[in-house]
Amino acid sequence: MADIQTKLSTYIRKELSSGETEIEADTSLAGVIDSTAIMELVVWIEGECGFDVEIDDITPDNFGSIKRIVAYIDRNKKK
Amino acid sequence: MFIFDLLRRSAKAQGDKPAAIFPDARVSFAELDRRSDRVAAALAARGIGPGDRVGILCDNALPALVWFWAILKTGAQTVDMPTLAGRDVLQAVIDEARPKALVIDPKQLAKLGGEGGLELPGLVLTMADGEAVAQGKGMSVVTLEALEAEAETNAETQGSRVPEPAISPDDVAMIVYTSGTTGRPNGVMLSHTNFISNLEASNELMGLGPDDSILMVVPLYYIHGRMQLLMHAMTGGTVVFSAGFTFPAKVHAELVMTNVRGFSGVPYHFNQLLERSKLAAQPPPELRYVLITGGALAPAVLERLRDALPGVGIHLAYGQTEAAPRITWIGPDELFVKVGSVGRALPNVKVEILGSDEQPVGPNVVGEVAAGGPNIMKGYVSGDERQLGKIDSKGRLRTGDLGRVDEDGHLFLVGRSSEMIKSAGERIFPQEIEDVLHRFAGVEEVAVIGLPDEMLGERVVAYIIPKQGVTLDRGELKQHCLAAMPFVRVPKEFVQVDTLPQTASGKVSRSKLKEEVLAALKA
Repeated sequence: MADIQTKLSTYIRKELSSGETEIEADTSLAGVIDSTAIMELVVWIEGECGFDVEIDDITPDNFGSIKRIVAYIDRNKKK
Repeated sequence: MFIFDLLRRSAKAQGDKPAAIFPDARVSFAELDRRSDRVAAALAARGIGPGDRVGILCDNALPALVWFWAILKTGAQTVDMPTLAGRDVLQAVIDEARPKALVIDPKQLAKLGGEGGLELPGLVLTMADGEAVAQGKGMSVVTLEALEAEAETNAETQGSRVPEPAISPDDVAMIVYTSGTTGRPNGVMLSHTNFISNLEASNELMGLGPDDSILMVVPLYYIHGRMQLLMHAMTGGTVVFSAGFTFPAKVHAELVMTNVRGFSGVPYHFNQLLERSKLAAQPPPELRYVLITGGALAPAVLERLRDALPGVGIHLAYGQTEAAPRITWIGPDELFVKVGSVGRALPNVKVEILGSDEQPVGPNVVGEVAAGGPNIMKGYVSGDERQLGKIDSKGRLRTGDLGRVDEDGHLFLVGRSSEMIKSAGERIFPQEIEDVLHRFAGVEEVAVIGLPDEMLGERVVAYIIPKQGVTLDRGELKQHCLAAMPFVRVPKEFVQVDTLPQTASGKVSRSKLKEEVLAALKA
């Protein structure tokens, strides 16, 4: 779990946002990354974690912060 | 008639109705009118009035609305500034427009205030937490709350309403910064008349009334955001502010939950709602119409939208910021009859198609789209709209778009004479991105083009010749771009090449490059 959190943080920091922007595990991602970045993030998660992200799942509850995304990945990987 | 009269009239006619609903706040027309009156009086007491400009650098929120109306009521001009832009772009806007005051929300103040931040005008206005942020940076600011309290005290002796400003409807009311078609940010100066004429024509065509409401997903600094706000101020309808478009499924939920009757978006928004939300499975129950702006939706997507939203009228409008903003419109009766049309000219707008000899051409002949009417801008803040060819000798707006008009007066766009890229509804100019990439050590030459993309419309791709002996690191290039511009503008691919096609004069030819790349993709 810590592993995916590190990978995810690195991915968001390197690929989706400026490294100058501080993003902590519970920083709200709304306003930091836009909907086109969320699309890329979804594709990354699907490739990295091996499950399909359902349309209904792409919500602030599941994708609102790094912490929430990690919890979401964790729940779905166990399925 | 002035733009602020729209609010005054609706406050008088239906004061108790909500003018705006935010996720965390709501305001009636009467309250918005009263609050903005007080703030206008306090601003006037601080010397803000006709001829002055006041910048607005705020995300969508209730205080930003109060500021907007208050500034207009003093007779001053608003300058809408893009919150997503980087420091350099914002500084350029301040340097050019020279606002006497700037309204900046706490978030922007934290990012751009103090040492190393923006050089701000003498009067810095903010709200709520902004005061604490400013104190931490050793800055002096005036809050909305302080101005309202001040006006309240004065009201007992002097009356709380600002006197009618000595301005004419033809004076500049709002300045909206746009990427424009010239490749640099342009401050488009729009008068009260520009907007009122366009609003009257639009609202009549769309049949909007006081019972209408809309879900707003775009920032107010976009002309489409301001337009949605003003359309509803005119009719006494309600604007419901979305939490933003980051999560299309959330926007769909908002459409369902808030029972709005209208929704307006760019093609990207509709693509996303169709692909990434349950729009079709659960159509918003009260939705009566949708309005597509900022470009045509692909015919197949348009059909999907129609099938997803039975009984919902689909409208499409074409325009530019410089036209305050609408030039043509097409409604549900004709959209699927005149497939591909962006509609007829608004009743008070004249559209002409100009040939290479600058003369109007006949039906179905392709040329540059030009528009004239009471909605065409006063000019750019920089004052060079004629030198740039945006306004021609006949006073027409030259859109830079290529199109034809059929026998029935329907305009069909066939391309752009400029090299603008449209990605996710954003207008992007290759030059802006090339300038950023040129500042990266190791870049010898660069050309940025837009390539077709199913979801984004076009995606930004950079072709780079590295300096001799240099291997460029993709991750570093990306970080360099992310630090300078919003994600949507950052190239999706960085392609390293040895050569780039050139024009006869030896400049890099983006059009030739694009032709070559598209030909290779087809092969």
